[in-house]
Amino acid sequence: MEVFPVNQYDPLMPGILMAIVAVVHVFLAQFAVGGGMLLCYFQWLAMSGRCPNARLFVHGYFKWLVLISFVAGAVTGVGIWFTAIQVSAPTIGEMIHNFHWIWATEYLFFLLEIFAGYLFYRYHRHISDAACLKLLGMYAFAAWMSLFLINGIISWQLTPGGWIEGHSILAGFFNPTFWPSLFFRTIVALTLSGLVACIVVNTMNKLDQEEKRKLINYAAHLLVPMVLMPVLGGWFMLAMPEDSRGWIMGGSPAMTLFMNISVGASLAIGGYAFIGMFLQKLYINGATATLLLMLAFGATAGGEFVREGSRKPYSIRYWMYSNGIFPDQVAQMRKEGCLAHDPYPLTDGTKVAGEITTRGAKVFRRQCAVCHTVVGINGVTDLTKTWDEDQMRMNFAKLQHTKPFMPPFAGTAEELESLVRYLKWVEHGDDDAAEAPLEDEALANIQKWLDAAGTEPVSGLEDRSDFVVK
Amino acid sequence: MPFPFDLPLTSLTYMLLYLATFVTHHLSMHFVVAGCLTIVGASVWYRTDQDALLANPVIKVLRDWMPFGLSAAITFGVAPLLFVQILEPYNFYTANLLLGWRWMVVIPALIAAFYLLYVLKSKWFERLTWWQRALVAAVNAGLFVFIGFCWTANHLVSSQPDAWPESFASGVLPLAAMQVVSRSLVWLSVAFVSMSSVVTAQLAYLREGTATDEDLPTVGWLRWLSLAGLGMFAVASLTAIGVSIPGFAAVNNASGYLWLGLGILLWGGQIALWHSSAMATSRSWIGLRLGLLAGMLFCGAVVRELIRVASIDFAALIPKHEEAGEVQGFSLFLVTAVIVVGLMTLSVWWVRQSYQAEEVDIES
Repeated sequence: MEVFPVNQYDPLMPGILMAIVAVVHVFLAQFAVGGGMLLCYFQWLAMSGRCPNARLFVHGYFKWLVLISFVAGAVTGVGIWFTAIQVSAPTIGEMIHNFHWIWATEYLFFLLEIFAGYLFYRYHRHISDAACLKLLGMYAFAAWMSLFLINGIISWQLTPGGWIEGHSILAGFFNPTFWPSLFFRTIVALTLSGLVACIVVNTMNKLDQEEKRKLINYAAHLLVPMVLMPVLGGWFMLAMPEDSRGWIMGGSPAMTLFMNISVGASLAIGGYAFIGMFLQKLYINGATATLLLMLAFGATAGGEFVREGSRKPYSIRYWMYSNGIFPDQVAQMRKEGCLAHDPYPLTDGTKVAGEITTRGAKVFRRQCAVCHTVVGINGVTDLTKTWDEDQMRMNFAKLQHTKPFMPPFAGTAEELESLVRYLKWVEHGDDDAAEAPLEDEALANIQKWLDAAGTEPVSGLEDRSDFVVK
Repeated sequence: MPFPFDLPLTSLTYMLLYLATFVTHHLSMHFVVAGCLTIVGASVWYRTDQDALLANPVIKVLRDWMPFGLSAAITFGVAPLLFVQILEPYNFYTANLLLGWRWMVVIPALIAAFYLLYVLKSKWFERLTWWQRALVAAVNAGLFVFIGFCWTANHLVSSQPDAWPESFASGVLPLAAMQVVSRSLVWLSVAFVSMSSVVTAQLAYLREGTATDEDLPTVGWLRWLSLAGLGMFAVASLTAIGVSIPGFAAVNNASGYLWLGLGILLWGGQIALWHSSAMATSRSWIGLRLGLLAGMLFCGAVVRELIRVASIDFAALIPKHEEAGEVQGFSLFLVTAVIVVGLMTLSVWWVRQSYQAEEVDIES
């Protein structure tokens, strides 16, 4: 059993860092995908004579795409990898291991995207309209293929589908949420590119307001597919496992809140775009366009939080828990302990009262630190403040029943008691109580609760509720 | 069979993909790092004649192409980053975690460096005084050197599993100054050779940008950068091998002799091709010189792996490679590679077909 060192950044939890980098990257990457399609459309508008100013727009917009997407988008793409390793090396390790050829294939399309994009960027003033359109088409195709491939991997995390049985790449890739997620993300990409277009048009000082309005109305065409979002969202939710659906439908206040933020922001953008910009052909100034784009960022952030959160207690559904422990390791860890293979001491300066709290701190690091801090964001001492020690012992021992989005405790009774002592020591600072000899009775009770809870999760394979195509 | 050809087929496949993509990443990264440092030097050199800096064909090419160079470096860097996670996942991830925030700083540094390259390319840069230009380029170069240092540190930490627990507890990375300095000098010195080779190729063959037919004969001075770079590369490489944990024992075998010998041959070939100003600026030798450089970088990458394999329990990783090899998708990757190469060629063909030297007036 390979154990990785775990960095704790209290009061910040690692997931926050992941969320920030992920949201920024997803936002930029989807903008790049939509941008390709938007540019093809505008190039065609220019070539067909429908909108002569579209040519001017294409060349202005592409600079933005290069400066924002090629630079920050590409770098945050690497950043998301680095961050994922910091947060959960076992999870990213499993994703890479199982999909490395898909990832390598995605890399090829990324190469093509950058290549075609730079060819256009460098030569667009020296080549014909037709060649420009072809290059933009190549860029858009490659960018969308990148989305297509990555979408297969990240949707697999929530709904691995038939992959669980035979590890078939096809079954895992074309998993139950693959198609709704792909269509949904494509529409998001179009929306972002359309909103950025509205901002860019407002920076084109050579055009008068009527000319700008015309361009904006064309850009609004890319926002029209948003009307399909409720259908696709519904499809996605139906394909989700039942318990995951439950979290976002009220089961978890935080997830429900983020879901509502995402839906509310999308509704606001969609309503404004469809009624105002598309039907009534209104002009939209730079400030309003920026506000709508910020709303879109909020919707993306909310949506990504929901996507990440609804996988709980797994990071890969049925396959790996959020803390990087495989479900089939839990029984073994209950016998030999979760620290048996952990070679890492506590970092110098970590405050502990003695041997028991040292062990407790290590148990916390191994099982909790991916999603929780000790004291800080999502801090366990705060979450358990109202529990007395016995309550804490029982709730931890029966963790998957206490809170169904938590994985089962994977350690011995002694380790669980050490964890309880450590957390209570952090709360009260009572050295003597924390380091008092372990009592047989308490350990026996913990063992009884652990046995009663079993090693299986509430949302295990035997109760799987997601839709699987056979 | 010499390393890596003595590995089982699955491990060999991953290793060769890693090595080949590592070389492409390095070539483009060298272009950018040495390019920035060259602009620093040139800004100081031309301090009394600031227009001369902007008129220098090498500086013009560097300013024009470095943003693309970095984009290529990042794109090419994704592939070795992927394959190292198959070859040595545990070592790579643990090194990442031990470096922690010191590793994560690479991302903002890279974003800042990327935008600074656009600053170097901008009209604004042209309006600066000589020391301001040198400062901007130096900050840019400094960011790249820092990022390179982080990678060197990551590699060294990943090769020392016995030191991990202590390093985690203390927060002190198990890095010996001589190891870091010698390894950093290896890539930093050869960066000038790569940059010079690429720039001469651009001046010889690319006519759509800043280069003209008169430029190539004027850049004979690049050979001094290349010769110095090659000299330093040889010294730094031998030092890096000597101060590595296994030391010369890592290459004291048939594989080591083969790759070092081949590397020395390719190194000597480049010395010969950079030796005279006429050869340095002749179109005839550019392709061969680039080929020798790529070959030498490949040899260097293999020797680097020989040291790593001698430092860690590589044999224990082979069953993991076999396990990874059972994952489906290799044929999809190969077919896509052929298609993508075809589509890239097609894109170039489209441009060549309709290219005209005169700019199209978009506004009309």
